Amino acid sequence: MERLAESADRRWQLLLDARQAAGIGDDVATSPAAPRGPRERALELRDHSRSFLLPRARDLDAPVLVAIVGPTGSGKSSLLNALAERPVSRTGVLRPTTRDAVVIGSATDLARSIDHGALRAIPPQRLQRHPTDAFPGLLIADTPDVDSVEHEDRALADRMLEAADVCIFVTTATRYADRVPWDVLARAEERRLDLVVVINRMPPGDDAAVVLDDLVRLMGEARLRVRSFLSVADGALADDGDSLARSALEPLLLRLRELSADAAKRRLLVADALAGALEGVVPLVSSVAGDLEQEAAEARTLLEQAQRAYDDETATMLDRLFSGTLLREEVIRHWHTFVGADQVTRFFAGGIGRIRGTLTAVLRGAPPAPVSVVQRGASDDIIALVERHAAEAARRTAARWTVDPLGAQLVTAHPDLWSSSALLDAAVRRAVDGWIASIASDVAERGASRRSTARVAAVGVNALTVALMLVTFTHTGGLTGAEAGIAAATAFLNQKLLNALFGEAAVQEMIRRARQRLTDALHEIVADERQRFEQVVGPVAEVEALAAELRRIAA
Amino acid sequence: MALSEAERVLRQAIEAAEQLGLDTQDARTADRLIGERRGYPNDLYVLALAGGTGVGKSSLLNALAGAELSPPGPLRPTTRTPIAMLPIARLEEARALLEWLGGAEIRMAPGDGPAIAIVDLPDLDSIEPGHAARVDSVLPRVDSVLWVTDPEKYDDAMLHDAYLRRWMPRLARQAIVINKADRLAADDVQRVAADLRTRLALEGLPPIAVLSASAIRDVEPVRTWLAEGASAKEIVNARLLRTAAEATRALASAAGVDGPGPPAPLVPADRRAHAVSASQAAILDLVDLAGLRSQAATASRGAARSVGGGVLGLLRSTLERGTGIHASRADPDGFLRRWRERGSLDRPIAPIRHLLLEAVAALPLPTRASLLEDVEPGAISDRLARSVDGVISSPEIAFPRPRSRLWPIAGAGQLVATAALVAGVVWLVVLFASRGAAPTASVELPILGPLPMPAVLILGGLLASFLLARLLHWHAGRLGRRWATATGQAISMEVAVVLDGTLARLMAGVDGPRHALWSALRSIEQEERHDGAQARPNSASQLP
Repeated sequence: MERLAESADRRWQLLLDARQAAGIGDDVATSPAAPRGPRERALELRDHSRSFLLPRARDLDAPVLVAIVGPTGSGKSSLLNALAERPVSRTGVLRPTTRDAVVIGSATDLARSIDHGALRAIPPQRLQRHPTDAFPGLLIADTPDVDSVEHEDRALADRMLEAADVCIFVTTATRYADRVPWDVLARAEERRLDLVVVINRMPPGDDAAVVLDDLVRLMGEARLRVRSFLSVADGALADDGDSLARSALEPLLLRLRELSADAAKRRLLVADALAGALEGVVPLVSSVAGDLEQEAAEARTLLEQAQRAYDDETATMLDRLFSGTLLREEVIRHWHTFVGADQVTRFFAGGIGRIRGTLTAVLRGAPPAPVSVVQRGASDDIIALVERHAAEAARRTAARWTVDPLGAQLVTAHPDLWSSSALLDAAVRRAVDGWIASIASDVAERGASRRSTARVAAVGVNALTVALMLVTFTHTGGLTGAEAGIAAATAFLNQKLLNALFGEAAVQEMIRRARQRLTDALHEIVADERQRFEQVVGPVAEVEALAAELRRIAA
Repeated sequence: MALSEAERVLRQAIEAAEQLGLDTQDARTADRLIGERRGYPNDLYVLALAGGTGVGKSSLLNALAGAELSPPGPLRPTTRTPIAMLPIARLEEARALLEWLGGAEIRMAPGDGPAIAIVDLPDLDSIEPGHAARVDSVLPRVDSVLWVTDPEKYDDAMLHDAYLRRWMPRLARQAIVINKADRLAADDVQRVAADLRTRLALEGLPPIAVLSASAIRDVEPVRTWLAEGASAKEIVNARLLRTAAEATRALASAAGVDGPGPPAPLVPADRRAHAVSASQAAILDLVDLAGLRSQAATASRGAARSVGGGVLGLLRSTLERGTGIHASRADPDGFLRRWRERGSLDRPIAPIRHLLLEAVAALPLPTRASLLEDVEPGAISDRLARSVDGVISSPEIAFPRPRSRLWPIAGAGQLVATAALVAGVVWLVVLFASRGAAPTASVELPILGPLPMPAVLILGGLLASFLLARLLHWHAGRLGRRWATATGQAISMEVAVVLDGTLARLMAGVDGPRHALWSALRSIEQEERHDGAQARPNSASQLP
């Protein structure tokens, strides 16, 4: 059990952090009557395990916490003041009167509970302590209103309720059918709390009995198990006006005194409360697990959508990468001038061409290879290609996500998800640079290990690197070079040159490896792009593991 | 008054919102309700009593009516059909209006007010869910609301979060009454009222009249408030105007244009210019102006050669045409037309897509759809390519058949040079032949300087032909290049213009409706201010 509470607590915190990191804020319910959402249920489980299950299981003899809860203006503070026999909790006409939890009890009990007991998890600045020796062994707490417009107050009241062993629910004759406090009662029942209902401001005469009957009927219909009802007449106040008349509270006082006096009775009550809580925690754990499963399933769907969009676009991108139409002619033309020059063609031409080339080479020297122009041009084209498909994958994913509530929240919180990341440009450029360097080292290695070293040196490793790069993109596969188009013609010349210098098989091998390396590098880059979507969704596997663990515990 | 104007503005806003892809369901409902309400008499208005269970709505109605229309009881929530008090003189008209309001489920009782029907609504906060649903269905149609609460409930989350915050901005004539004031001391009533006002101000709600009443003792403040208000016509009008304004405001806020100033263009001018020039540069890379220059020069030389290239030039021209070399190297028009085959459009569209995607991300979620399709790469490539095609295929761009007066002269020169060459060769041949046939005395050759005449003719002919050909080459090339440069400049300028136009059209689809929504809201708010200034009630009945 302790393990349950601790693991639920730890994992839930982790999930909350992830959510916060993902930029999803708390969704404050617009209507106070809105049903409790997954978040509320999980917080409930956390508070319950932190402030009740764990401390209670560790120390059955710790003081019993009695929480007074109820709607605004029902007289919770007046009740506490009556019990304390002095004004400890502010009363008045302005709502809400009580913003903090006001606790009375003996000094030792208070210390014990705050240090390592039920009250440890309550923020100290929202806890007012009033030592009194009226009920040793008991801590009685006035809580903020459950239905005031201050949402924080409601949250504090909920936490106090989760920590309590006994609940005194205070309502009034005009309030008893209000919806919001009714939800609190439902939670008290789920927890199997020892429940006492005080109905304040009862009308005089027969109407009081009519109202009480109606309330008993309503609670019966809602299957609430109430230990006792206590009806307080309208205007039954003590002389100071700040507290209810103690005479009207006799049955309650009796019960509290009895508990205070008898440690064994307290122990029995506490054991009952714990047993009830354990019984009640199972449905809560299951429902939280269900919430988590649903959340994980939603997240998986979102991730699958991202995966599909990115896979599609990656496939199209790679198709186009090696389709032979990637590089623009303007760049290729520069290269064509170089590789088509006699001084270069002599390496693979025969007869008169060779002689003419050799002569020209002797007379004019080798022409300069436009290495950097072509490399830059090719990089630009590759970047544009990747950019197009990465941005399109992002756009498709974001558009898809917009339809899903969680996805819509995420793409609103992260407007950058609509396009490729700002770093993509630089990443692709780095990858292409690295790739060209790897081709260069391939070329240098082959050149060094062959008898064609001199000829390789004559053309230049850099120029051959560019030739090989171009062939990687446009490989004519044994065509004749007579086809129309400068791209094909250049490819033909490049291939001839490379074949002449390295041999056909070696060139094929180099092309294959270069393609593989570029494909791998781009895959990696696209995966990084997709990663952004995974990051905002959060640790789905973690959520699934948590759900599974909760299920195991609940079983 | 300007209610019809407000209706018109609301419809414009709906139209604009639809162009943006916003959900206009609520606005359409508002529009319909306004129209329907205008079909009923406007000198009679409906006031609803709304509040939590047990605050004393029924008692208040009874007190106002001076009769027990609705018996109060101790049980919560009180379960009964809503009850209404109608002006006795106009029972039939009021009945029709109330039926429109909530169907036949309202029980009607005659009252003595002149122009007001008071409806007691079910509670809005009890465990009976049907009650709140009923309140929600009636509130959009009532003309005026009296929010009833009491010292216990005035700070309830249900009242504030689910009702006041939502409905106060949508209503014109309304007040909050703190009932059961008899339970508090007089100065406590004022403290509670002040507290309530502070709370409402914190929630960002407009100021509202806060009254106090005691259904069992004193409902005079409510009576005064009812009496001092504007005429029924003004109340109905103000309510409908507010409905139109709120619907417009909701649309404008969904589009993110409810600020005080006009919405800034989605894409700032400098960013747009930047994207256009980046895209233009990439398109010009594809068009390949250097390539165009060489094509034009070659074409021009070919044309020159056929006129001024002499016999050999003519021969070469014919050969080039026949083998297709001309078509691939000397066809500037065809070269331009084929610009799309010279690379992918990914680079040109990238800056524009980036800009658009950024704009999409900056839009409120529901309006994003309006731009999303335009950012699809295929669609935007087509759009761009079409506009560039338009530039390139325009008749001013076409390559003119180049001609020059110099070329025929060069051609004549070439003919003369060729003739000299031929004459020299023939002379030599005849000389050698005759030497073999008639071994007579040697022939005297005319000498020009150190060289014999035939040699002079041959060498001179060759030299002149070469020089003329170079001259022609240079001149024709220059002509072609000059055309290509001018054309390149024209294309480059035109491309920038059409790119900017394309982008402007894409943006106008969003910027236009956004601006329309903003100005709709502005004009309807102006109308409202005008109206509010006229109908502001004085507040004698209010708590200080």
